[in-house]
Amino acid sequence: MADAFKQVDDLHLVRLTKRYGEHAAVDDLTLTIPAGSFFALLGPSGCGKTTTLRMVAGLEVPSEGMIRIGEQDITHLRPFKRPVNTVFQSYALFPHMDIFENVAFGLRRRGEKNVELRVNEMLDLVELGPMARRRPAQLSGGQQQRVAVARALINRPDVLLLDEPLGALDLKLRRQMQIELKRIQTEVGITFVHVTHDQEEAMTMADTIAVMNQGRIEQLGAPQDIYDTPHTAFAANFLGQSNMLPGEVVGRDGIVTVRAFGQVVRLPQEKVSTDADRIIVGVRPEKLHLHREGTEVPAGRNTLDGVVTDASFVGVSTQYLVATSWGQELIAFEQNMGSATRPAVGERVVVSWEPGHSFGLDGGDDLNAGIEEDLREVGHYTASDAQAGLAPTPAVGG
Amino acid sequence: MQIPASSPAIEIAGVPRPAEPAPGLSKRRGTPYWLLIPGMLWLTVFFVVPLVSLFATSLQAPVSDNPDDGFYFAWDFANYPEALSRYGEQFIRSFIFAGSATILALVIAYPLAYFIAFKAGRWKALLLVLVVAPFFASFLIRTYAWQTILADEGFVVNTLNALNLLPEDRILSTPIAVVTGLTYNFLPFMILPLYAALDKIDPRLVEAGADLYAAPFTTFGKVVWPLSLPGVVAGTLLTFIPAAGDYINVRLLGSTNDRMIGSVIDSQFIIVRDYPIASALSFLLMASIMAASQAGPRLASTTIDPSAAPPVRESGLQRALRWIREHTLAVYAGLALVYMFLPVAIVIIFSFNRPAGRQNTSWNEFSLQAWTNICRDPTICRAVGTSVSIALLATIVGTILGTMIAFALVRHRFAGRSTTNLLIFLPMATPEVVLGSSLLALFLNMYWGTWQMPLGFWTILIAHIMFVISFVVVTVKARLSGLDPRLEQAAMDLYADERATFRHVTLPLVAPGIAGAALLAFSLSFDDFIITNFNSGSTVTFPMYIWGAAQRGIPPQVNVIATIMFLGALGIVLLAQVLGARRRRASARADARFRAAAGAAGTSAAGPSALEEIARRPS
Repeated sequence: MADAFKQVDDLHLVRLTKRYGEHAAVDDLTLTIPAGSFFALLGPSGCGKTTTLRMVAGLEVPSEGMIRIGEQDITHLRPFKRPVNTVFQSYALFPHMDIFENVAFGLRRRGEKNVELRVNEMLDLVELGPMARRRPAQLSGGQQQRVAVARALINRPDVLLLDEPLGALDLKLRRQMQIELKRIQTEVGITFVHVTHDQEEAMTMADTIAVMNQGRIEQLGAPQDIYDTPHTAFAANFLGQSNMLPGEVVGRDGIVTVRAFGQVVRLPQEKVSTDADRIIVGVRPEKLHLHREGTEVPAGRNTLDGVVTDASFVGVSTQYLVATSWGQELIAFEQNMGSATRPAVGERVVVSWEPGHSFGLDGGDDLNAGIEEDLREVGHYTASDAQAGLAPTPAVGG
Repeated sequence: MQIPASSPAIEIAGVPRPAEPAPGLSKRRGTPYWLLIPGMLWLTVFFVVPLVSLFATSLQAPVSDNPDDGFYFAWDFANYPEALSRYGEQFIRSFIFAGSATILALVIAYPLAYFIAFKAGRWKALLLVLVVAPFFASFLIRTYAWQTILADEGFVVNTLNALNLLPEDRILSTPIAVVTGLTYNFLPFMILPLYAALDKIDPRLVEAGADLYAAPFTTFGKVVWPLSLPGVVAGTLLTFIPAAGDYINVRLLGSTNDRMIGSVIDSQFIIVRDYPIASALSFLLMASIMAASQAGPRLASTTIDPSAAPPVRESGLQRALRWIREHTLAVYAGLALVYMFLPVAIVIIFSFNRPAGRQNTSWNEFSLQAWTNICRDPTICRAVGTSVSIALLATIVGTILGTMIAFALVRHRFAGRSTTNLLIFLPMATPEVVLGSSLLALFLNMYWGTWQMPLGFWTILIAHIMFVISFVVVTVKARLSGLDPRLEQAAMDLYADERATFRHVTLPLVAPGIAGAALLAFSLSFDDFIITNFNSGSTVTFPMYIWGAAQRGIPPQVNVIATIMFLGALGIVLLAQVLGARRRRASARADARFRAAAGAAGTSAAGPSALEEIARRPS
């Protein structure tokens, strides 16, 4: 298939809206997905990502707006007239046809030639050649998933839509398939639009991620940019964990100086996505470093004092909870380098980080936005929180 | 023969299962009406109109004291209390008989259905076939077989008399025989919905119950029974409704002292010709069944309290006890099957009998006479021919009309859905005497000048199509709403337009449901007696031949035909099962190397057979 690189056009969604009664599932969405990219729509369930996908597939009719591929308006084309194919959630393989016929389905409908050859080629690509004459029910979940991909890909669509395609697989298989999908995408060069609520999956595979919330896009960008400089609390919380300090801006001079709970922290202007005077300073747990009493803190770093309240060893790293004097619990991940002895629970420590590792959010944002939808990704709220009576939040406790 | 449909009963039980139309499909608003109109028109003209006119008849008053002078419409509501006071006894008896039969059927069917659903393993499909198979041998002839089984001086009666268990020294012509016959005849109505409900219960729930310290009886009472309640409710209603309106079992197995309300309605219409009273009785029967079906579910929703169950004792006899415990269910299920097959065995055995007198009810000597000369009485073969023609035509028309309605109901949103559902359900909840008599009234009123609608082949056909439609709709609807809408969306996504999607995806996936519906329609039509009897004129169908022959003795040729029907149907269903299994095996063998990878799930690749389809209605 490597020679099958085809000239495709960008996918444009223009002011796309889908209303169910009063409720707007997708709200005035404008987006351009570059040809040949691996694009992820990431968000909690009900955020409108699947509705968006189904509108592109032609399975839902938009209430307003337009969908174009290059200059071709496909907004009102029936599904079977679009150069778009879908890998359905739970695959939707035809149970009464064998694998070969499933994969051949699209080619046969379009009356194409060389069906046999192309299907066998495609089955080889997804490593299912020997399975051609089996029925879907006789395959494992991972194999079914690959059949679903093959069945869509063989039609060489301009855009391939993937609707939570890995959701039914176990963790190990999911990792495998992530790599496999990425490989296939690079090989065929087709635009992939991938809908998922799994932030790790999105970050692993996608060139560009759109974080969706309540029918709108919260933030759009490369996975690393969104992770390092989220623009909203929702984006910050949905992609990983953060420590968040609400405070007042007291100085703006290339470096933004913020006073929070009597402490002063600094961060570069370009990391702040708002002009507001009340902002939230966020920092990812792995950016924090713990200094035991009596050790030197390098100059220029932001520092906060605290007491270690919990330390859990998770192999590659140790995760600490550090209580500050105002009652907030900070999360810090320290890599286990095997050198220094680790701080113990109850020990006084200084927490420090590079100012450039912070990000600044609008002070009006809900600190908990995007959390409860995806607790399992945030992960670390265990007995210690329950004992402390804290809400499951990585940020302010009081 | 009738096979139950659980879903409509569930709907009146207040647990509706609306089938949501698939989004993204069927945007053309006109479509559902084209699908609906032919079938609904049929039901309106041949079910609703007769029912309305029956109601009007129930308010008529006699012109004079002589009923032959006719009646006129008079808002005469007094017919109702009059009917009730005259035939209250038969009403009460009908409900007692039907109620007893329903409870007995539940007691017999539940363990059997439980065994099939949880313990039968790879024999599941075969057992389901066996449950349904007896009902391909004619309803009437099997009921006659009970005359032989329960005959005075027969094995059963002699045994029970030896044990001094019979108050009247006999069974035949007592209420015991009637209830036995009713239980037997409507047993599949109980088994299939129960099986459908039990089969849906995840066996891991039972294991979870055991894991959470529940003794087997407690697990049953707290987990299995509550989850199977929809099936219990559906089965109860589907057994009770036809049993309450039945008069055949009473006529064949009971005495004139045991007359049920169905017998009264029948004779009021056909012999006494007091149409207003007969119509009022019909409506009272329907009304009381409706009332019972509202109350029934509430009674059924009381859960079994297992706390009274004795704990399992540990003792020296532990091993023996465990053996019994582990095999009780299987033995019970086996006995239930014996009960179901006993009359069929009698029918088959007596097809080889050379009767001593005219009645073929006691064994005389072995003979192949009946088998070698089936058409000795040409009227038998003519009757069979008539029945087959009617059943084939009714199946074709009924299946087409019913399938169209099912598609409209599942795939489209439209004004009047609930009315449509009600209209589909009502014919199934209406006792056959009411269906038959109201249609007769309609046909009698169809005249133009000197032309009068002749009763015969065509009126029977019209009636049969009318009552099979509902069963077809329910069967196909179940299959259709179980269909993942994403499969059709996937087809559309893969360049199949509506037609191609229907041809390559929808139709093949729904086909087993349609085949099951057709099989059901054929057997319903072939075996119908009550409705046919009202509308046949001088045409004789096979069940009517049997009925008529009963007076002068049923020739063994009838047994031969029943046996052929039974073996034929059994053969077809078994063949389908074997072919399905072979296809599965063949495709598995093609790459046995990967069999292990396919996982231990072992789900069958081929769609369920038509038979499973009938059983597997949603509940």
